[in-house]
Amino acid sequence: MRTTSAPRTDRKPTSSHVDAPGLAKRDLLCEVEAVSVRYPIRRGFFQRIVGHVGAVESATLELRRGETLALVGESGCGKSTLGRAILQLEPVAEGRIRLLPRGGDTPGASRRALARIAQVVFQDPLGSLDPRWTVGDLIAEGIDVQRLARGAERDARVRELLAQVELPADSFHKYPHQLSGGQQQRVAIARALATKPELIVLDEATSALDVSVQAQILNLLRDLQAEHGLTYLFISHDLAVVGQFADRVAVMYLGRIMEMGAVADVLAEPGHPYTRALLGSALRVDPEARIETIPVLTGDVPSPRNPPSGCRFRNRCPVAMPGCAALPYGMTGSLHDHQVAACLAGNSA
Amino acid sequence: MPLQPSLDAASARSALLAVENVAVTYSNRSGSHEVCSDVTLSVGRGEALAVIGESGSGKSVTVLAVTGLLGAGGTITQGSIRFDGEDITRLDDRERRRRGLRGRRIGMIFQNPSRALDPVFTIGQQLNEALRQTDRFSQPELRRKGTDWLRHVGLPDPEEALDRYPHQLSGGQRQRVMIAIALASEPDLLIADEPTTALDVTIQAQVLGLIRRLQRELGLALVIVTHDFGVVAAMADRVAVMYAGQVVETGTVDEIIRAPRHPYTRALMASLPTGIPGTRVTALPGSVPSARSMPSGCRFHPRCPVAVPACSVTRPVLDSLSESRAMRCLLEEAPAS
Repeated sequence: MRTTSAPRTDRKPTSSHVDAPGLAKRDLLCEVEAVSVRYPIRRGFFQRIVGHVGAVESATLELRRGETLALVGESGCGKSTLGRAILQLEPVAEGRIRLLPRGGDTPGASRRALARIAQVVFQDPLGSLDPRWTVGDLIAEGIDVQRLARGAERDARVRELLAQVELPADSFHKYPHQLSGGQQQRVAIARALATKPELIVLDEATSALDVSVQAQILNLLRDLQAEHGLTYLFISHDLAVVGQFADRVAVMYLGRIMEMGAVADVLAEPGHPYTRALLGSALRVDPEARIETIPVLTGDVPSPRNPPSGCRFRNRCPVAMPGCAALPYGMTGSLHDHQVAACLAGNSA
Repeated sequence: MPLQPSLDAASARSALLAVENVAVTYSNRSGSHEVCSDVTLSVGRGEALAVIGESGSGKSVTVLAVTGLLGAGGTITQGSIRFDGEDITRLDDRERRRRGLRGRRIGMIFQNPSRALDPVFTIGQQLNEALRQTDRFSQPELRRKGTDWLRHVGLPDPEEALDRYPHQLSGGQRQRVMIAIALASEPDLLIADEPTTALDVTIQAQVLGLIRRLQRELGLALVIVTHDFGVVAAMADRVAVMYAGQVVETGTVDEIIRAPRHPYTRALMASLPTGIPGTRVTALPGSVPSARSMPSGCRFHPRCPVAVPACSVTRPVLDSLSESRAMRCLLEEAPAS
C-alpha cells in the first residue's frame, strides 16, 4: 500500500484519465474527488429555485477494495447524501465519482449497469421491501432485471442466497411482514448480494435493530465480506459499532469531512475538535460515566441552509477563536493516512 | 401536596410509585394477548429507575399502564399500581385528570416530540396549559415563567420561542420543549420513554444532562425507559431489565452493569459492540418471542446459553436476592459462569 500511495498523492484531480500505477488501480474501487451535492430550495407558487443547500461540500475520499469505510456524523451532516451520490441516486453538482470495478470498465450513466457493481441496504427493512412480493421474488429482483438467470437456475440462486444470509429455506414463499426485523434485514442483504456487487452501501443498516440482533447482522456482514471480498461503505452514527466494524472512518459535519483515517487512529487520537466532541458526547456502558461527567456542547446546530463561514463547527467549538470565521476549508495530512480538516487550534494528528 | 420536597428517611424509603405483579392484555377480534405478565417495579422520590429491554419486552406497555394510556383493547388484568400510597390501577380518564395524574403529578416525555406537541398551538400556549396546573397566574406571569422554563432547557431566544409553532423548531428543540412542558407543572414523577433515541449524540448528552439536573433539583422520581445501556449507565440509580413482558433482573446500576447475573442480562451486555477494531461481537441467537407464541417455562430458555431441561417446564419467579437485587432464573442457586 505505502509504495503505491506516494505517486497518487501528487496526482491532480484533473489528471484522472491518466492511468495510475497498476497496483493502485487494482486496490481502489471508488474515487470521490472534491464532490459537492446540492439540493435546490424552492419557494412560492411556481416552486422557483431560490437557492441551494450544500448537503455535501467538496468531499474527497477513496474506497479500497475489500475494506469497510465508515461515514459517521450527526443527522444532516451529509453522510447519507454522499452514499446516495456514489450510488448515482443524487446528481453531483461538482467534482467526480469514479468506480473502478474488477471488469475494468467504469460504468456509464446507466443505473442498471451500476447496480451490478454497487448495491445498498437501508435502515428500515420493511420500508424498502414491497409488502406484496414474496421473499423469493424480492431477492430475485436484481437477478431478473439484470437477466442473470431464469427458471430453475434463478430459484436455485435465490435459495443459495437465503442460505448465505442464514434464513430458513421456507422463507422463499413468505411475505416480509411475516418475518422479524432481523430477518427482514437479512432479506435486504440477500437482495443486495443477488447481483454479485463489489460495493454495498450500508446506510444505518443495523441502527433500527435491537442490540442482540444487531450483533447477529454485523457478524453476518463480516462473514459475507470475507467470503465475497466485498467493500462496505458503512454509514452510521454509532461510534462503538463503527469502532468495531470498520477499517477506516470519515467524520462528517454539516456537509464537510472533518477527519478521516484508520478507525483505531481516529477514535483513539482524534485530531479535530469536532471528532473529540462527538466522541466525548457518546455515552459509555460504564457506571462511572454518569451524565454529569459528559461534556456538553453549547450553541445550536446550525442550519445547512445557512452554515457558519470559515470552519463550520466554530459556533459550537470549545476551542474556537476569532480567526476561525475566515478559515478556508481543506484537509491536512495524506489521503492515505490520517487526515484532519484545517483548524486554528492546531491538529494533534 | 407537601410544601417542599424534603426527603425524610421514611418518605425516601417508601416508594412513590409501586407497580406490583401487573399483567396487561390487549384484545382484538383475533383474540387476546398478554403483553406484560407479572411486572414489579418501584421508584422513590429523588431516585432514577431505568427500565431496559429490547423491543417487544413490554417496557413501553408498562409505563403506558402506569399513565393510563394503554389505549383501545388494552387492560390491566392483574396486579396493582400505587402512586403516593393511592391505588390508581383502574381509574378512568376523568378520575385521572381530577387527581392530577395527567401532567400535574405525573409528567411524561415520549420518544417522538412532533407527535406529542399540538401543531396548531404555539409553544407558549402549550406551556401555559402546564403552568396553569400549578397555580393561577396572570398573563405576564405566565410569560415570564414560560420564558424561564425554556431558558432552563437551553432553548435559544426563549422569549421569542414562546410565540413559535412546533414546526418552526428543530427536533432537538421540540424535544426540549416537551421536557419543559413536562416539568413546568412540577410533577412528582417524571416518566421518560426513550426520550433521546431520536436525537444526535451531542444533543442527547445535553437533554439527558438537563433531565438529570432538574430531577436532582426538584427531587423528582424518574422512570427512564430505554434500550441503550449507555443511557442506563449515565442516568440510573437502579435498573430493571425486562424480557418478553417480565422483569428478569433488578439491581443498582453498578450491580447490573459490573456484575449482571441473569443469563439474559449477561448475553445482552455481551452483544454490545466493544469498539475494539476487528473483533467479532458475541451475538445472542434468535429474537424476542411475540406475545402470541410465548415459550413455556422460562421465557428466555430457547435463547439461553445455560438452559437446563427444567427451564422449559418450570416458570421461574422474581426472587429477592438482597435489598436491591432480584432475579428470575431457576439457575440462580448455582450460577454458571
